[in-house]
Amino acid sequence: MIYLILVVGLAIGLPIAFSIVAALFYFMATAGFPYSIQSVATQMFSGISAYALLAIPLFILAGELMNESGITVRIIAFSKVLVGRVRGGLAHVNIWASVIFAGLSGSAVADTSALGRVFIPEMEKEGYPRDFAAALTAASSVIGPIIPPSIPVIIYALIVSGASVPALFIAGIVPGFLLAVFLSGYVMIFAGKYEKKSVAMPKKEKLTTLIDGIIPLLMPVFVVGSILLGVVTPTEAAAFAVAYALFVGMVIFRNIRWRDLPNIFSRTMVDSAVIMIIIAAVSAANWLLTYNRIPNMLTDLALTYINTQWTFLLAVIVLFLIVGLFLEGIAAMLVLVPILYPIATSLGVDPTHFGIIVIFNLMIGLITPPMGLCLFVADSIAKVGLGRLSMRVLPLFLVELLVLLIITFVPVTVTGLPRLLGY
Amino acid sequence: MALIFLIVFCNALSRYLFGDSLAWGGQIPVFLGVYGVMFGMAVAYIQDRHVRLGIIVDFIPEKPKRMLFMVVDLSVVVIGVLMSWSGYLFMTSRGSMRISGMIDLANSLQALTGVSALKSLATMAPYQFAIVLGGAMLAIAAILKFIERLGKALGNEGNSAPAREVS
Amino acid sequence: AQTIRFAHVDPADWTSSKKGAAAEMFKDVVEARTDMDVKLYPAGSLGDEDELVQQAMDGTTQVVMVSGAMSKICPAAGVLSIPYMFDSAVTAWRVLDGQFGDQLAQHCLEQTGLRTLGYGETGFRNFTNDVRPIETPADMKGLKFRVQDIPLYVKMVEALGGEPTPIAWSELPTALSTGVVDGQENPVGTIYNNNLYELQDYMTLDQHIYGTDFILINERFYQSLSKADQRVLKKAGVMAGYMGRSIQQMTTAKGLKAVKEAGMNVYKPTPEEMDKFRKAAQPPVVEWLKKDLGDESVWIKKLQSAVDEVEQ
Ligand code: NA
Ligand code: NA
Repeated sequence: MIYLILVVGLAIGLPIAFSIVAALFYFMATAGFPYSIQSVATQMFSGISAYALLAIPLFILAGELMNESGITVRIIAFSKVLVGRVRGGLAHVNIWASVIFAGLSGSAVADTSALGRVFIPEMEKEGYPRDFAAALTAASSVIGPIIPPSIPVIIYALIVSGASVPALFIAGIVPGFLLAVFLSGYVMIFAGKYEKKSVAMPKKEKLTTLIDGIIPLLMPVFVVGSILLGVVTPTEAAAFAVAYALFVGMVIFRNIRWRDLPNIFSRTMVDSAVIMIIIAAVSAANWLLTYNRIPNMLTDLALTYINTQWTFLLAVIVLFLIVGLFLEGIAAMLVLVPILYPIATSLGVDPTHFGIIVIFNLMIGLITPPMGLCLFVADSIAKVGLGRLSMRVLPLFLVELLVLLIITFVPVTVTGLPRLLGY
Repeated sequence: MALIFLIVFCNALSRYLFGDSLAWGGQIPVFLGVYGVMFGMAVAYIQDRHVRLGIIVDFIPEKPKRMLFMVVDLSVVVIGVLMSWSGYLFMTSRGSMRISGMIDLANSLQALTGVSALKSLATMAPYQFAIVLGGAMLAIAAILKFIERLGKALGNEGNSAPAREVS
Repeated sequence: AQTIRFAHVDPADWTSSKKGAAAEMFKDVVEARTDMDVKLYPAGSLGDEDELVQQAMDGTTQVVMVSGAMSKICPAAGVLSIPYMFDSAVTAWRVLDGQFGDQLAQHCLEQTGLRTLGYGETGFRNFTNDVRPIETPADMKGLKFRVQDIPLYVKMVEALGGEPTPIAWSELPTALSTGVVDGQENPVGTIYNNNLYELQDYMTLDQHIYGTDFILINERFYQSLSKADQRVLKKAGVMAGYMGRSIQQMTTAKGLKAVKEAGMNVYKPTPEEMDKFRKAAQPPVVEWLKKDLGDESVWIKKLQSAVDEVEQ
């Protein structure tokens, strides 16, 4: 019955968080002592009353502020100077703009919506098919949460008590760049033919563009740097990022005025609440699962069939790809990581490596239909239809899958940089 | 939201600059955050921003979809009420738990204002109340959404009737 | 058969974890002598200490073993944290296993609905720092110490002349290595297990606060059992407490040996110097505690006389 409520709830379009809460209420009300209705509120409350979680609204706020400050346009101009001359120029610009954008925002969806608005029409103008432009925007925005700062990383570190946010942040840098390089490679081979001409710019304009572009680039340096130096916790780094974004938006570019702030703050509150309420609901459900030792049982069961690191990681990738088809990334992580992590540790998988694999995996899920948030957002801008868009995304998806396999089976691509820096 | 940012930011800054931070600087933003989530949850419902599973619903034609969403609204009303009630039970049974980092702040506020109720700021109850409030707000948001959808549904069918009659 | 869920926040390994060992002992005794099942939930898998005491109060989790969270639900238990109250762990054991321990257990039972089955220990806490050896409170002047976010600790460090800085546990290593604070205070086992000795040069075995572990059972659940089972639980609780104390003493001894070998400068203050610590720290903390406890401040006197009696 509890599963029935969950499934029906999800099927009729009841928000995920409320479907879970409804099923929990039913269970708690009917199961009798020691279960009680109040446990739902209790576990939801304790699920979201953690200092570390404050980083989520703060990073979202920083991203919103950077966006409002007109930084998007400058990032794009900056990328044009850097890679605009390469064959398939604008497509490369799209990808590398995402890399820079990734340093500002912890969310791929924000990236798709900010960059998509500019790139989809502009790429079409330059001769790219509209559906390809939308597909590339969605596919490259996946880089966002892999390069720090990253909301999924904060959530992963919260679930897995042995994982360190700074180590995970640093570990994401190489895989993020690998992804960009591979996408660029794909563009160079298959998509160069679309563009009529490459983008060139006068020398003087180049210089000011580069200077303007340094400003957003300083943000990730700032965030990661302050955590690395041990000056601040990730939550405080997020607050510093907000301060930096406010400074850039209000003092340097002067695009944000005082009266814009209430609007930005309330939008951030809603955006964060949407994520946090899922965290609350899933942590209540997880508590109930742990209480009944379900994770232990599943671990034992899995270990009887899977007994090497590689088969396990391969199984994880397949599992997350399937789950990613239907479930939103963060919800999937909250549900599955508590179960999979103990298996990973008992097989000797590095927690940082495992974290990046999981996050990378779920972020790819953002561009797979039917439940691909980035795809939805890209389509809402491009309006080419999900079917056509999905076909266009497929080869890009395969490229990303290849990168996932590389970072999975060549662990040094993930763990090398953090180890070099002493984590 | 702005408060959370200010407290976290100033606390980190003061620790970095003066080597000292406020005992409650770690607690208050967390509780503000819980209230923020609860407000945001209700507002997000009105704006239709919550994450839902789109596989089936997205392929349903407009009209039955609206009916279905009205069912969803009503379920959310029930869930909101249950949440509020569960929060109330939670608060009454566990609200007296003390928060050590807040004892001094609550005491000095009490001494400053003479209002003895302020002493309860050092217990969990006022923060746990967020769930009671959040559940209630969610229920109200869902009722509003339901009325809005009902209005649209009726509006569509009654298109032939002159709109002016209403006023 | 009935199931008892036993939860705590320490690691499971009984050879190095006090609560882990206590839980293991409890499980074995109860399962051997009754037909009940004991399921262990170590490492905070059911929540942090605050969560656990609340779950025990609701009856969701039947038995929990907690330390600091106890005084948040039964403020009188806070008197055990008065600095320099016990001159040795043995004194503390005799006080807790004697009349005072029984009375406190009864009082907290009435206040929380949680019965104390036994007392374990998290051990004495000691100061470490990176600047100079501390032999008397005068040496603490101007040094910044990380403390837990608990007013009593703040008052104590202030009274000793240091500068208390509340910082979360997770941030402590960073704060020590970047010099945000000069020192910290913890039991030896904690200092050793978390490699804090690599970041700190000096340790003073001033034993300022004795940390108590409480093994608590939901009273409604306890009363639902047969008299015979209740006796077994009571005995298992006491034995679990002893087990926890023993493992704690062992990790302290091992830790002390190891940090010395690692080159840490360890100083044990003389009785005269200990007197200076006590005279500086106790009065202000007791005064604060009196205000905080209100009607319940009689527990300060009760503890004082229990300690005097044992020390005679
Ligand atoms: Na990012
Ligand atoms: Na892009």
